[in-house]
Amino acid sequence: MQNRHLSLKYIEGEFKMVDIPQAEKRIDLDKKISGEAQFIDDISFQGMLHALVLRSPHAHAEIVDINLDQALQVEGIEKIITGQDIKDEVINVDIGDHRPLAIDKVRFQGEPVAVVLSEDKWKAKKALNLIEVEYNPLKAVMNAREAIKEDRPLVHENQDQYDRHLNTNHHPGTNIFRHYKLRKGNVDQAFENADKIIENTYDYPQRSHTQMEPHGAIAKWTTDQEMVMYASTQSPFFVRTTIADMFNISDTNITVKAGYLGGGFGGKSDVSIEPLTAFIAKFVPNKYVKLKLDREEAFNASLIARGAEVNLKTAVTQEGKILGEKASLYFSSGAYGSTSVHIVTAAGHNSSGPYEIDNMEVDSYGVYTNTPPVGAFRGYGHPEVHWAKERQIHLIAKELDLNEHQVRLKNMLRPGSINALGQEIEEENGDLIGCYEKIKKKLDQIEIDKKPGKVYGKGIAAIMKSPVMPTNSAASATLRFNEEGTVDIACSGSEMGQGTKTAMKQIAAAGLKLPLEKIKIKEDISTDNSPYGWQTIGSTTTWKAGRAVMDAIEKAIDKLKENAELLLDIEKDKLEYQGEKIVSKDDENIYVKTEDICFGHLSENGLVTGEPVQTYGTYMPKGLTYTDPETGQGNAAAEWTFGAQGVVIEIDKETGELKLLNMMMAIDAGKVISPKMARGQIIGGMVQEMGGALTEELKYGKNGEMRNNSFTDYKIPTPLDLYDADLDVFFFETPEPIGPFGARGIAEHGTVGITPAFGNAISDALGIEMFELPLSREKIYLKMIEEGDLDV
Amino acid sequence: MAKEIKTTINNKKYKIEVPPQMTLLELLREKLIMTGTKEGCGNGECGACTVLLNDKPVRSCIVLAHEIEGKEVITIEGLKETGDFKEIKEAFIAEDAVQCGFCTPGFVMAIKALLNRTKTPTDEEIKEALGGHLCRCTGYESIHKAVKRLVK
Repeated sequence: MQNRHLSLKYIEGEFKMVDIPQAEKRIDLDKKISGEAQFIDDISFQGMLHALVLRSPHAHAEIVDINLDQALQVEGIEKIITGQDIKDEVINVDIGDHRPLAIDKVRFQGEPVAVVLSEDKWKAKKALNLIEVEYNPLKAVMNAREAIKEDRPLVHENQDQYDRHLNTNHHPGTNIFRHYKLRKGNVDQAFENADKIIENTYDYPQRSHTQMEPHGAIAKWTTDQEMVMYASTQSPFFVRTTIADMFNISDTNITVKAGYLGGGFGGKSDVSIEPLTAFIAKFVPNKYVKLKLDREEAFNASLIARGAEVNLKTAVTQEGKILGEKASLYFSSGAYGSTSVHIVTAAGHNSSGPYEIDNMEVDSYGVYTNTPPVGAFRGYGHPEVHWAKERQIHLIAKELDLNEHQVRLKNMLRPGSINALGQEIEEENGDLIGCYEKIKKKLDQIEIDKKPGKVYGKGIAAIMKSPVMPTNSAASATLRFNEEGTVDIACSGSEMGQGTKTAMKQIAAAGLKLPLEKIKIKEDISTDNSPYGWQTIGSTTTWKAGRAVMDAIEKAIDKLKENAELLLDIEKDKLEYQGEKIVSKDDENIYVKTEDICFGHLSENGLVTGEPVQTYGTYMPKGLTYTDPETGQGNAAAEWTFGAQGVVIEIDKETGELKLLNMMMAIDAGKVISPKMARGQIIGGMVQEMGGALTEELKYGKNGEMRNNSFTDYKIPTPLDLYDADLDVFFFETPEPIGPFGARGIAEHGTVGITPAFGNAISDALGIEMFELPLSREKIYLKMIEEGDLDV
Repeated sequence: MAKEIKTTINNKKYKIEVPPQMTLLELLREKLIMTGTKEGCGNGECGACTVLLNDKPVRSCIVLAHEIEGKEVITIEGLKETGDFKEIKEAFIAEDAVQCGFCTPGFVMAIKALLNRTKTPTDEEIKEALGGHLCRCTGYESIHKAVKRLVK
């Protein structure tokens, strides 16, 4: 790729590894299975106050009056805080459009209006019920389509006045806060030359992450300038800097501590409830304040996910070659735009899918709507556009009467191709075609045991993914040899189930050529003394923090050799590091044990030679740039991962009920650090996205109130949906030059192509085409009736 | 009005005052500081807070604390001292059936309850035992494999 810093040392030469040492179990398994692992709500302090939040019942309304008189009469209430208490505190992730509490108006049902603090949560609840708020309801806009209309209400009247961390190319006087434009080649010419133009619109509704652990944070201000916070966050450093900015104080005055997360999936990245927690705690100095969401609040008062309408116009030849494409993407991004600016970008330049399209015109819009704010969710814009693109390819093939595999293979990115961003794809980016052929072959091999009254379908999708993040999103790691020769490693990847701490242990053991038991990973993160890590997002921790660990290892080995040089009087270039010992390259009988020199060497007379070996490793993604505001071209993505996915389904001809029989993925992981955990990531991602494919959709009533904010009404996959299904994961290993031992990120990728695989399987089974997710039983049933295929 | 109840939790006898609105989950987590039992939904929908009440699995978030009067409760804190727990743990290790771990104690309690009923459950019995438990990380495959390993 262009401007790419290539370094092959981790996949060739000294660090080339065939086998990564495998741990018997995750390092946190014992604590988690026994319930001993502490999550945020398991932490309490003496005298801690509980924060209960009064939330707006309206999706869009002016706040006319708040009356606290009766509520303040309740005994045991420490403090009640409202928007009137806000001075100039603004939450600015990318756009300064958000306050910790609503001030003059509410913009989504669930927005905080008042907070009651009390040591006794029952008393707080009582006071909460006594707060009187008078609202003047306004017309709400619930999706991007409505929100871009001429006569729509504005969610933010003066978005032009907001501070922005980057140019979002917003449209003043409208609800559009982000417009990503991509212009490549000559689209008009391509459309003139086309044999056919195929246009379709695909809808991917909003969803909920539904981490099993609802969000929580605990804050205490120790002085009026210093705060300590415990949070269930993927982003302790980012939370720190956002809160410091909010109060206009130094980052170093804020301490954020993060332990285990009961699931994250992006919904605990950037910031969610942490700024509010910090804000309310400031009113009760020296007291811990805990804000913990209940399940309903986790649905309607944290971050939600996805929400995109994608229109694709594709110009093709009779043979299925894509000449050009016009794409319009409208994201229903919710009431505040900060947490989805980059989703709009990522979706925009990934709308090509894993195909080489010479002529592209993409307009991707982030649009304010009266729903909870949309934030990152596993896949980050990619599942939304793959739903569209992989259905579109299927429909292009159908329209042209071609085989869909041939259409895909004809257009796929391969070494030498130029992608949508203008980057050249190289061999090292991975084996897309190999992955696709693998899934195609596996699907072909599956013989279905057909039952009467059922129809069967197979569906396939190809995928690509890159992390899209600020160009300076660094990772770092510390390495410390202890006196006995063991090694402490720390890096700031939050552990939310992906197994990052265990993977780091394996990477460190492999790099240091030491047994796993000599490596200790520091699990808790504190922004005071843990190495910096921007956020645990984008499937980048193994890749990027892993790389930082390798950097620390290189430096440590160099230091060890320096210590050995002093002791053995052999130049360090003539020494080889072998893990437990450092050996002369000329004579293997001359060596020194690592454990004898890792703290400097102590001789019999007490004289010390050398220094303790403690190092710091860093990694900054190289060569990233902002995209050009007019053409959208540039190095927005630091690495690519390719793969393919497939499903086999059974549909009941009478009821439309869909049953999963097989689900699979082939992915070029670069290097699999742990086969078991890697499989768990891919399968977890696929099943999570299966929810999006079949059942999950946030629904709103006519006043904009969320109607399915519970597990009874919002259906996520259960054990019953998977018990009888066969799942397969196939790993390809084309080394990635940056990642440790060639490893790429894989944590989100299981989600990316699952929805179109289901859509294409339904087409295969019934010949009906679906354009709106979820592909519910009801929709399939109605469509079957419409098409006259119903067998009754 | 708070009421004093007598109960047995993890084989230890308790005499405790409980307010009428307090749930068993609140009693465990907030009063007895047994935080191994997790709250995922508070509505009996996710299974994370499952404990055994007289050997039967219940959602402790929808059981009132005063309902355990005269009954026996086993939580993950009690179970983890037993040989059965060790077996379940070995199976979870073998299949890497834990990711974020928040739902895990609930699943473990459900599996223990299933094994209390039968050592050779059918597929239907396994589905019935686990069907109401939600996990958002694993995709269930590894948990199912762990259970099948236990009943082989």
